[in-house]
Amino acid sequence: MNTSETTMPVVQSTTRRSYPCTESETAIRCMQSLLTLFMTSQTDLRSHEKEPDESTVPLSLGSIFEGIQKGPGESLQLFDLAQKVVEEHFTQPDRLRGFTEFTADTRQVRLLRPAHELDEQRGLPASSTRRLNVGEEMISQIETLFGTARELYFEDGMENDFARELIRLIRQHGNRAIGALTHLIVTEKVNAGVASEALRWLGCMDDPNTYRDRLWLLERSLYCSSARVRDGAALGIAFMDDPRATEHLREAIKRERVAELKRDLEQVLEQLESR
Amino acid sequence: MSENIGAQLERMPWQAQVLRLTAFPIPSPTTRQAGWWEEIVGQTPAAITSRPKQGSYHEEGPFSNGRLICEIASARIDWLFIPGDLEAEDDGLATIGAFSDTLKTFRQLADQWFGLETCPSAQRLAFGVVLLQSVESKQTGYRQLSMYLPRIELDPENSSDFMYQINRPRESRSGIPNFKINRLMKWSVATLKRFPIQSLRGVGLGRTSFACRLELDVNTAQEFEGQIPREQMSTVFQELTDLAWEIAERGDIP
Repeated sequence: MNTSETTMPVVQSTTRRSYPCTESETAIRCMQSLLTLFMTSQTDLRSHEKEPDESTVPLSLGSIFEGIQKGPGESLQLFDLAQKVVEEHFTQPDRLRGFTEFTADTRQVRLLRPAHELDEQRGLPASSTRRLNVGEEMISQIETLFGTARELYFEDGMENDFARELIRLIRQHGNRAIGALTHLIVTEKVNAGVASEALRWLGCMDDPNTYRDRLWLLERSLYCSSARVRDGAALGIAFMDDPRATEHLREAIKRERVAELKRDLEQVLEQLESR
Repeated sequence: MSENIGAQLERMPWQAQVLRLTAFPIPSPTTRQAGWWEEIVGQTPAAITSRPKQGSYHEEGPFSNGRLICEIASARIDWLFIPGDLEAEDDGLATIGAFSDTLKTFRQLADQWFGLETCPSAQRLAFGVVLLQSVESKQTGYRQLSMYLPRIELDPENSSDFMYQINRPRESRSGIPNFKINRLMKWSVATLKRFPIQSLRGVGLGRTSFACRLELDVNTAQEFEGQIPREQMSTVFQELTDLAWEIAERGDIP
């Protein structure tokens, strides 16, 4: 039996509006720290921006309050002005990152995540269908792995340190790791050669818990701008040998401009259709 | 909903905080399938966010006495019914209303969606819900939970930090072969605290209130490799909500 009490603070702003949320008392302290940090670290925030954005408006306390709303999954979430600042979470100072989680595939940002809830996310039961928050830490871990693999020479079909570590991370973290991979590969933030290698291993590894999300990532990667990534995705799909990918393959064949890759995609489609 | 359960609707003490329908479609969803929100609600959504490259799409707007969100992302489609008014009730609970009422509304919504020609067939369906039941104190909450958890011996006076989670899978009654349903439930007592945030120094905690909290995730098992026939999606979802209702009413039973 797990023992952890759920505490749900109701945050009240200067405008006397209440913002209920199911977070622990720890979260209250985190929130105060976070707001203080927001107030005091605007210079830090701007200095960490990789690409200065003219639309970034300096935050005021009022705008933060207006930006905090309750969202799905009982989380506190940021909208509008506050969202602008934290949406590019890589630009946040390290001390802010500890209090924020970014859901890569929604417009919403999970703000406060007390430690016990993070543990729960890691240990979400296999039977759960709750949407997982990928988390900065996971993205950073995968990004580092990709970074170290940039100089590697990948030999076709040969297992290597990169593949071993990638598979280990996926088995350990499940769909959180796939979510991080999705964020990095689909938005094309990582080296195309390494992404391509990762995709083929995603296709041939055996891990039923992440099967659906791996297949989805492979399908999405067919639309990436890099031909190498698309090639890796095609190989991954061929390994999975799942006829459910045929619709995306047909769409990808229609769009494909590289003749050789188009032929490869057609071969994979033929393989799936013959099953 | 069975007549037996329907007759007991009024006696259900739970308030719903979040209702969720999740579908894992076959083939994977695309953002081209957007626009369902307006088709179902009959109004334009208040906000739409599309990220085609990431394959995600989000529609949101007021619905009934809360907010309705339709989200397409990764390999799934989520419908979420959440509180719209940020003002908490006097008891500190922000809910979308009685579970009985909100479930009816949500089932109607689900049926409308399943009835759309563009609604994809799914490999997996899920019904998630967070329910709250206001109680006077943590001890009262534990006593209340004891009624739902006959196999658990709770000592309300001398214990704290209680949380109980279990999955009790069952075979589906739908007639689909090898089709199991996970009944994942999590029981706890939630503490709600109000505090003024004007001052960033010090935590001025105000009144504290308590609620029994039940989080349910009733879903068709991942191991099922087939496809839920489109004409059976509504029946299967009804079975999921019936099972959730049964747990909320009768507690942790095999």
